[in-house]
Amino acid sequence: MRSRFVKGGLKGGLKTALYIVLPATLMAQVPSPRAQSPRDVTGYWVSVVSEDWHWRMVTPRKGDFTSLPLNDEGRRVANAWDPAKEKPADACKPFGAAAIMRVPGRVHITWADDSTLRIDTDAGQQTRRIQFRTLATRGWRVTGRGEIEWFEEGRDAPPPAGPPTWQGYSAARWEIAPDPAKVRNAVFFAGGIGTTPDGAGTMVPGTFGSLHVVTTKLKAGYLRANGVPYSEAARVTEDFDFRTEDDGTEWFTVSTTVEDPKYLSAPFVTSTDFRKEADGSKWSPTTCAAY
Amino acid sequence: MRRVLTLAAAQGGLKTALYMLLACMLLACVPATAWAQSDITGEWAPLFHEDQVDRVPGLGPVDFAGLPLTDGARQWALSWDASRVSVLEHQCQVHVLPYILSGPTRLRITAQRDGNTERIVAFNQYIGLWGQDRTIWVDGRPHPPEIAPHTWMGFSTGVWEGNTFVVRTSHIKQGWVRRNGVPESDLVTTTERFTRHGDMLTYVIYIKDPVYLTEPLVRSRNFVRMSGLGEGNWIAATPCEPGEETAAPPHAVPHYLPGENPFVAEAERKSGIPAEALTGGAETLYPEYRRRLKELLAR
Repeated sequence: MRSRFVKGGLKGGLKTALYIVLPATLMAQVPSPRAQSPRDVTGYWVSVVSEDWHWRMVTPRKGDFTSLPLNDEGRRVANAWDPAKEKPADACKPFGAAAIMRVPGRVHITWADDSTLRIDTDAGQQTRRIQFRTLATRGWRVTGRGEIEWFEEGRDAPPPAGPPTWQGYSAARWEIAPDPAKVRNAVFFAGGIGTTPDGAGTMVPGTFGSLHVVTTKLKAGYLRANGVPYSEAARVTEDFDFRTEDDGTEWFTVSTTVEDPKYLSAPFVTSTDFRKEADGSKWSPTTCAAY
Repeated sequence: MRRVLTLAAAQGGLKTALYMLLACMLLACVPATAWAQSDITGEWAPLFHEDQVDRVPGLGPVDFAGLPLTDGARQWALSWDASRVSVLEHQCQVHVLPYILSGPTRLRITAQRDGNTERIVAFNQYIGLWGQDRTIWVDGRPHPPEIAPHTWMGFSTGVWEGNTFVVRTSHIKQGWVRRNGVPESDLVTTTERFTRHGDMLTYVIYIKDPVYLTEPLVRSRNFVRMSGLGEGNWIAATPCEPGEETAAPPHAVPHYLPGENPFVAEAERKSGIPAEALTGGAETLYPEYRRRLKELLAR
């Protein structure tokens, strides 16, 4: 910096400083993902298995693909599953990111740093690192022909180099709704102009929002413990919705969409419910093999 | 960005362009926060990738797994005979609110506006398969007194928590939380949340029943936006006309006395799950119950 001031004079030095300081200042003005979090999401959470009980609490029988949109290849591979031939290295296949939130167990959510959310699971002792990055927009839409299609707009920030893993690479963003106290009379929700406290479409004051996560770079695993496969081409999209019920209990529901061109004929969508616990006294770390 | 860099290179030289590039790269590293969509009106179709057997064909008798039942609810469900639905008085009974949006139905949500002010006073939901209309008031009116009539869909009010539409319902008739005879009382209350993620609608219902549930029952479902597919995809509601269907004696109520339900053993055999687990209870909903299940299965 000193030589730059000497060579280019004061004007050049200021110009250089401006180019370096300005973006840094702008960055400093943007709150970190941790600061943007609409609520405290950290803590111990237990999965409440009131759905798909028969397919989650026990390993389903071989060939039971109920409700899974498998293609021919997916069915062929699942039918070839032989538990006797599973190797020790296969033990964590049902605990990959495409399935882990559906596995009965507890998760411990913490901030690893200001832009990385960490999710540890006691079932299978897995660790997910949710990193806040630029993400494309994806979803279903109806075409002009009246058919439903999955669409994708924009591009994700590229994942880092490295081999695929059970938990893959997870990029995230907050989807935060405007606070009605700050955005008066805005027409941004179905209730239209109803933002008055006791009028149509009353909005509860406060900040609410969802956590949107996209996971790629996955090592091939199982969607269900009975050998239903997902491939390394799988992409997992999750929306975490956190809430407090009227009785004071805290919950989140994670909607999970698994796309896999190799084994699925359509996106596979589930939603899984977790309730917050007071502490980690029921945390029960269990290896994949012992689960 | 290419245009900005070209302009910078032309006006300030290569170094300026490089600094601009650095600035753009740094800014690109700032994670984006997006506003979610929250217009929930339109037509929605359910996805059945979870609880498919419960929701479409229906679970067989004596399968109450995953439900936090009271002893009374379990006894009721074990005494239930599927022939009950053919009894004249029950033939036109539709699914009550705690269950209905789990069923194979499409859902149409529309806004109801005040004719004078154009303000939205309610959201209406038309639940296709059973021709049920429900109104969710958002004009701030209170719930009626306890003695007010109960209906299949109950009385609902709604507010917004950010992009989530939160609906609280009371005054629901007695019905079931699972359609193989697991009861729901008319003291039940529900809190539903409708959250839109792109063209997917996540629906969560939190069911509190002081009579038949030992703790709240939570269910979450997903719907896909269907707008634009046209009216031809809706099944017209057909009024239910009850009529004699069986040769049973008048006013007979099909049932099983305690300990006499023949489907207990059949349910165990078909599922491979012991009756202790199949007949539900709050403890069966939690991960640690897998240990107990392993013990039972090992016997």
